[in-house]
Amino acid sequence: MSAPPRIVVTGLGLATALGLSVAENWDKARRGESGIRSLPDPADAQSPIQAAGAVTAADRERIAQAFPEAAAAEERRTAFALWAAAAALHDAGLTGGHSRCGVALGAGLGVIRMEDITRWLDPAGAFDPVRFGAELDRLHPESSGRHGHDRAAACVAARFGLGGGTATVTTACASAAQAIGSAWRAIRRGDTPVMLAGGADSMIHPLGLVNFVLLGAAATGGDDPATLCRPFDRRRGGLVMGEGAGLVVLEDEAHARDRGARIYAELAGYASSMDAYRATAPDPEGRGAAAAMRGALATAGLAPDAVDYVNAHGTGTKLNDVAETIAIHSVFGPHAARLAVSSSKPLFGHLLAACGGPEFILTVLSVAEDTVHPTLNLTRPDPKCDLDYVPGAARRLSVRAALSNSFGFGGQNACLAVRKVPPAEGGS
Amino acid sequence: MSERVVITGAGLVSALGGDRAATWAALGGGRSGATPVAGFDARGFACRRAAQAAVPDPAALGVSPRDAYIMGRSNLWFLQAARAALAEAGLPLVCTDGTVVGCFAALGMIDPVPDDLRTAATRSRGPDGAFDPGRFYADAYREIYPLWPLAILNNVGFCMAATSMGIRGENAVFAGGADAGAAALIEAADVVGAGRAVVALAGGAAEAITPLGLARWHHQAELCPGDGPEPACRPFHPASGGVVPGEGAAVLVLEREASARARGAGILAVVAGWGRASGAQAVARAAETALNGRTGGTPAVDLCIAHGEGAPARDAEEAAAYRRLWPGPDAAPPVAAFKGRLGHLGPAAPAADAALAVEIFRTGCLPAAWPDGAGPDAVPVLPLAAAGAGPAPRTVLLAARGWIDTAAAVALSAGVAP
Repeated sequence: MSAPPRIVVTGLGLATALGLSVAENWDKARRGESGIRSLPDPADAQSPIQAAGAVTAADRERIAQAFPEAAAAEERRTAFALWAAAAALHDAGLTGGHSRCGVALGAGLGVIRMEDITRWLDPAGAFDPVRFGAELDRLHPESSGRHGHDRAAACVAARFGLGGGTATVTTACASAAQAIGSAWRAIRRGDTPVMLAGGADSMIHPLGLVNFVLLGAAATGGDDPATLCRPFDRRRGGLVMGEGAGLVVLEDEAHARDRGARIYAELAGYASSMDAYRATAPDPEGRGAAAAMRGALATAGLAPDAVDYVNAHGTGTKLNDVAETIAIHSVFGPHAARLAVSSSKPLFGHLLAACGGPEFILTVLSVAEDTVHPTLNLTRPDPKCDLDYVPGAARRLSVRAALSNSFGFGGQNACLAVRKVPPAEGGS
Repeated sequence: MSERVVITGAGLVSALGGDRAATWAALGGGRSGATPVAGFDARGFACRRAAQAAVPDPAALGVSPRDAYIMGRSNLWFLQAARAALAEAGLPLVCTDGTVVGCFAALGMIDPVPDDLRTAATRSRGPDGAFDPGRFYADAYREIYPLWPLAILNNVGFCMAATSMGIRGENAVFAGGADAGAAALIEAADVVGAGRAVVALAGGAAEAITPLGLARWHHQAELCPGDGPEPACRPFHPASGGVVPGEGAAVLVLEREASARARGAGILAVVAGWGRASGAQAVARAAETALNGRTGGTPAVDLCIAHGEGAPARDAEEAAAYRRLWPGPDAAPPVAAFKGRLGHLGPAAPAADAALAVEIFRTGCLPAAWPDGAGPDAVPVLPLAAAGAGPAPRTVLLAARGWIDTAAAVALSAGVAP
């Protein structure tokens, strides 16, 4: 009976509102610069949502030039996934395909376009399925009537010659973290020595933008866009949508060392849980969130007081931030007061199904570089949110281990535990 | 370290019946679930037939009308199959300690019902009849039911199903084609084997047939045209007309063998291996991994339940994979496929095939009139005369393919009495 292999992070790739390189994202995160801006499309001028962490038009053009096939399909999510995948594989030095490398990707809904309905309304206003069925080729290239959630993962595997199979996870905002966790399990049980994992999503289209308004979860105020997302602040008004992708290369440590790969950190543990509470709200006691954190610590063999940083789910919604705070207290006890906790969502918005990807990357960098980014816009702390959320400015501190939380609508929770690899072992 | 994982319950809902026994009996009677599409007027579609499952009564599942709306047909089927699987396993329908129970599902898209968006869409039209974002944002979007966004998230209905069973443990929802269904089984087996859950439900639910969903089928698969009563989906048959979309769900109960035996549970099957692959030769590579490389001159399995979706080109690719896997005239095991009868259950297909494998293990026979026959390019299939005859298969390989060059395989062995 052999011990499971240690699994390490060897490649990082990002496409967010902060930019298309990990260095740019990390620099801006440490400086506390937000990528949340007014919606650029004039067609969205009357939207109840006025700001989002949208990837800039210039950056989307760069992606389109690199991956014209994705641009032709006008499918933002797959384009972001391809960009981040290329970056992560390049960063890891894995180019030229890999027959055993699998892909695990968290992805959100397909794009449901109102045009898919309005175009086929009859004069009386009823949807005409007969005419619709006869005109399927008129569906927009991005439409969910053409492809499902799994297109991005399949396109990534095909584009980069990754032969280890694909998996697409759809657990709302927990998707990417669960995909990374699923990849961790695949390596741990010996299915493959290397996985590309993370998430990609975009819902910046009319129905997507109003979804969270309908649910009462979106920040709709007229504030400065950069200050609209306020996790743990008493004035927080809800989530601010983002888009993009964050992918990482995970490897069996022996595989990584054999090829001389740079090792950022160890992905030491992962667990998931369910709230079993309500579809529309988290368990107010944070029991599900706490179970995921405890599970991640247990699988990592980490004691709570060995953790120095938690990258919170921190959506900026009234209910989540309090429940997550309660959960952290319940897991860490007195040590909770010594933890640094920050939310990445004011930086690039809530990337929905993809959020766990970029946030995991920032967590890995926090461990690798002993620096945690601040929680932006936290100027009037909610008394019910009483942890050290690193307000204002980035902080240098020794980060021996960290957790990255992602909690999904419906009540699915995921937590990833990251541990420092000592410098002497850190590879090239 | 992983321990041996067994199946102790298997629920199946299909066009052929609301439970596994009914489906098995219908298969034995040579029935196909394919019928003209019901639920909307599909005359404009090239493919107008599907194997559609009956929608369960939410009240019978303890689901309120409001929750049934959010869960949609797919997750109601999932819940129906899950409850049947738990009952067969001798486990309570509501967990006493849900933290040690996992739940892993494969689901497809949940498409909007056009009527849900009809008023908003009508009020969003500009003078030219086209969608006008300004009108939509101004007030038309408010015509959408506020909980509608939850109803199109496949995981939310899944969570409601899991919540109704008191499940709080490890979980995931995988999405995509049949390969996603295999991913759910693999992840569940891993979690149980590693001790992260005492019991895990694993399975999937097919997408409900809707206009938008049928459009996606059209773009992703080679569908069988028309709506005639003839058995148009004939896996591995050169005259097969193509894929017939199917509806339903299948869920398995997985446990560690030791704990299943300790509580006296009947062991229906053993999870013996798995593999996943993408790109060239994905089916063969996934199968080879599932069989742990045991694919030389003699088959390591007694029966291969192929993906066999009925699309001639894809079936030919798959048949070639099996020839590569089992070269030689007598090396290949019998290869069969159920999609000609059940339709293509998409992400639910592997669990459905596993549930039927349980019946094959249990009864030692295959359904009569099975399968539709093989053409000259097909791999060997069980001859009709073999139905009900010969030694019972002891090991079965399940193959599953995604929409785009991905595949997975799961090997099951027959269980033994406790």
